Amino acid sequence: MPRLRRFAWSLTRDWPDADDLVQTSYTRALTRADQWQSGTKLDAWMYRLMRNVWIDKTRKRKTRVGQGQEDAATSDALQTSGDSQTTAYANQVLAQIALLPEGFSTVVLLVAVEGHSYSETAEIMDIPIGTVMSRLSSARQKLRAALTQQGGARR
Amino acid sequence: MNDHAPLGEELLVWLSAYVDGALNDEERAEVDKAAAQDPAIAAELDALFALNDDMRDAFDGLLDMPAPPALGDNMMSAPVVANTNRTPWKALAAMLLLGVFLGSATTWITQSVAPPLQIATNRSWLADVAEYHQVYARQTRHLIEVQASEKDHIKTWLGKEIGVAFTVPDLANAGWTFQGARLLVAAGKPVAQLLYTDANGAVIALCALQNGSGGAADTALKTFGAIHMATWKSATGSFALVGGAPDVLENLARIAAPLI
Repeated sequence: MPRLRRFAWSLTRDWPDADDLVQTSYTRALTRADQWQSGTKLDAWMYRLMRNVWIDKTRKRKTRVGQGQEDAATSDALQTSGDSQTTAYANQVLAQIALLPEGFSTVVLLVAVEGHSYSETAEIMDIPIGTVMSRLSSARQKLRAALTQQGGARR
Repeated sequence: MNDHAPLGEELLVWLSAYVDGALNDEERAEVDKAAAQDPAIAAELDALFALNDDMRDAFDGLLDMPAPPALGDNMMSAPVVANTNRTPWKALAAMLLLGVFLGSATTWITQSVAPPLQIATNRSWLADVAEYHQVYARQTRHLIEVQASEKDHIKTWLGKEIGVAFTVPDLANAGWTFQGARLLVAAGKPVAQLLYTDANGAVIALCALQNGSGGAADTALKTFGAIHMATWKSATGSFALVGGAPDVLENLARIAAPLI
């Protein structure tokens, strides 16, 4: 569950929404289980399903986090466990990831953190590979600029 | 790539793909050549590799976030409407519910689907090393694989395994006696570990693995739970001194870095 919750957070960038998304996705996974081909990657299938659930939810609500409304840098929901300098910096990085344009943080998670290939990521996110590449590069430049502006010496 | 202005948008996309290991041999060689000729490109690659470490650390922290108890309860009562004549549904439902029972769906996802190396790369090597330290630091009678008396063998053996030439730093003047070495795997990569103890039996480990970015970095302090580390990088290796108090580690790192 931790990886699914993390993936959900990368989509929602908000813990209550992420947990709601995980729950709805589990339900949908069970009702659509006949679409899963045994032998294919279950994590990629679940991620793709979760992404589709999130799109449905946001279409209904037409409200999304991460477009500047929420000051993610100060949001308690982003704080990870621990109280060290490292954790403080990790929280700083995470806060900036949360402020990336929609869909960027999930691409970062899939490729840079979980090691999915560009084509797997494109399939999960239902976007062209070129968009995966440009989102990654753009996300990295935005993060670097933001962290540098915050005096982000790595601790 | 030569057609683009240095660090133009398209070049940055290439460098980003280089860091992700998504280029073919020819493209990779082209980036290596460009980086050798242009310090700005080399510096950009260093920064991108360092940012990757930061992003992994940040996302790794989310794996430890406690889930609300209601999440598991609600999923247990989730309605199941499916074509039960199809075998995959049964398999999937069993796997999903098993994941909830065990409190960790990660287990079934990673063990049933992902290859081992991919599992390993989901975490930073420092997080893995921190976990190892909590285990082996207690194993004072079985601390090492190769004794300190075989220092030359340790140098050759581990240097070859991790692909980084190093020497064993003498930290005796700082009160730490070299006991020997062992080989670990962290984040899917071989890690050399040199173990030292002080007069009180406390254990610290100097860990080394190949530096993917090729860029040097100054000493930085990190903490994973109760485990502290001082990290730094040379052009070829990434290093971490693990265990002990932060100020002690920082001091030892300054002593060890030029010696290793």
